[in-house]
Amino acid sequence: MEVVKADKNEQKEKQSKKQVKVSLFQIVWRWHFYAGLIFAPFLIILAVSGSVYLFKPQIESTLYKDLYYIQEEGSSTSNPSAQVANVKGIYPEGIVTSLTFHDDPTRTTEISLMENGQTSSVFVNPYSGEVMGSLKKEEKFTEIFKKLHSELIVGGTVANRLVELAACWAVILLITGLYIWWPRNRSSIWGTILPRFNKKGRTFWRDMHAVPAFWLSLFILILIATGLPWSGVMGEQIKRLATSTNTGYPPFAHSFGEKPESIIKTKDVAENVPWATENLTVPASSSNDYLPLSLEDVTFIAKNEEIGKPYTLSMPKGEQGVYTIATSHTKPGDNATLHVDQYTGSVLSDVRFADYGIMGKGITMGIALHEGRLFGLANQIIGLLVCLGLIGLVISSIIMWSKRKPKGKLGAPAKPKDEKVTRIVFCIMLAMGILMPLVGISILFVFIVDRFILSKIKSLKTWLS
Amino acid sequence: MNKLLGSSVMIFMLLVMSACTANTTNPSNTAQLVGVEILLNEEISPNQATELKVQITQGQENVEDADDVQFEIWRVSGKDPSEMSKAQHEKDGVYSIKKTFQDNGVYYVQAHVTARDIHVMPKTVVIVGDVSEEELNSIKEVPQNKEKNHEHGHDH
Repeated sequence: MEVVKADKNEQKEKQSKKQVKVSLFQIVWRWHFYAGLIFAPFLIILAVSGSVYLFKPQIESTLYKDLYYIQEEGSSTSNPSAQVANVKGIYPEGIVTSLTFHDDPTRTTEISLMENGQTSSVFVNPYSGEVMGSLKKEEKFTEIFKKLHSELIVGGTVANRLVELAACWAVILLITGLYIWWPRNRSSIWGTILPRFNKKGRTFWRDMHAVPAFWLSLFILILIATGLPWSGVMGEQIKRLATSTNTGYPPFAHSFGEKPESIIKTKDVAENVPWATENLTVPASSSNDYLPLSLEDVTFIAKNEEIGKPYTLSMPKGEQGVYTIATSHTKPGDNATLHVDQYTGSVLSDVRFADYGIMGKGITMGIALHEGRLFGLANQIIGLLVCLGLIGLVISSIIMWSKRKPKGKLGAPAKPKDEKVTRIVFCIMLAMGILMPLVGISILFVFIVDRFILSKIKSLKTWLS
Repeated sequence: MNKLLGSSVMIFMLLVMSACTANTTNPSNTAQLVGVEILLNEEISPNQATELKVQITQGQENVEDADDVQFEIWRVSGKDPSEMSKAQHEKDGVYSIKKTFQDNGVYYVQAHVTARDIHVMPKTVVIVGDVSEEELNSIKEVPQNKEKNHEHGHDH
């Protein structure tokens, strides 16, 4: 409290000279305050769901132990066709869409099944061929958190855009926050890079907010940046940029000349394909008198092409479909997507991590980092700490606000007197809105609502001011 | 100072948001496809030698330097292990084996071709002699798993 007052007094003394600076500080704080107020709930949701989803491998291994793990029974395994046949025996109506083979010899084979429009995983003992049980995809524990994290459970485009909006506004919170944090008149490390534990009240909580936020800012920014490729608006822009600069994924067309192309994209056909190859057109198999290859042949091809387990083998869709062998769940360097002619076993396209452009590589690494699987447990723990830190920041900000908030008022930072500064900062925000389109749209939306609706309601106006 | 901070943050953001736009060359590391066509006599009778052939091409060119060409044959219904036979190059990219089928029946014939660092393994069905309706239908029903050691057939 004292320090902030002292700060303010100091600023007041030099007001004539520093009018602009004060106004700038006030308006940036105001932006920070409103943005924080609106997006804090979303950031909490993202942080909580994210910290759970980070530990997906460990959580699922524990929860679904009986489905995932079996005793290793020597080296003789039941072949994939027999495993599929056993699954079909139990689910005669089901259509097998893919098989995932794990590298752990005590893991079951995971067979994806479509039944009555529902996707489920059926787990098969690879040694005996015995069907261990099944799990509906949307009922998987971690799937719920994934849905919360990416589309706030309710799903759909609106929810997905809201998540992206919150993420983009978090960037603005970081920038404005860093501006407010910036030590202007003080050169002390206390209150900037170390908190003042001896202070009480709002100053203490201000330090508990600003100091950890400074330390976490880079990590939070990395988490946001690496999460954006999934988003609907920014993600599409990134993909377009990668495509237009030819730095995303290699175009399949250059490898094979005249091959028939189906319009089906990999995304619809194959599961677990690495991000960077999702938009490759799947080459169609050459249809002739040959019979479709057996799964054994395709697993042989995978081995022959040095695809290490775990990998997912997706079944051909229709007569012109291809077998797709994809792996993306281990280290990014092992990423590979192969499309195999279902009749001849010809590898129609083979895209590995090394073939990705620089952006494709970067985004692939970023995604692995975001999901906590780039460098093992340490990656997960760092991710968790950043999430917990983010939650802490929201809590400290609320406490700080409650200590400042007058009764019956919102307690927003004062409007600066300098209209020009207000307008300049508004324009800077709009400029960021061009970089992050959803931010721009939301700023314009709030501006219009504020200008033409809220300003007409007197009681609301006093509360907000 | 503030300006410095502001602009450095903006520059950093721009870097993060737009990432790198450096160009990479188009990898076209996958060679042209190898085409394999299995050529069979229209009628095959039991206990009579017949020729099984494959025509191997790459683009317009006949492939005469295939590293390995093998035929794998097994009966659709039945538990007999498949048998592998190495084919010899005749000419113009045609490789063949002589085969005598002992019994009437429906057989799978799969060509395993390794040429120009590419592996192709098309599979087709041959009908030998007179075959019951039942056995003909079995092509559709039987999952194509082979009771054999797959690794063996692919040692090359």
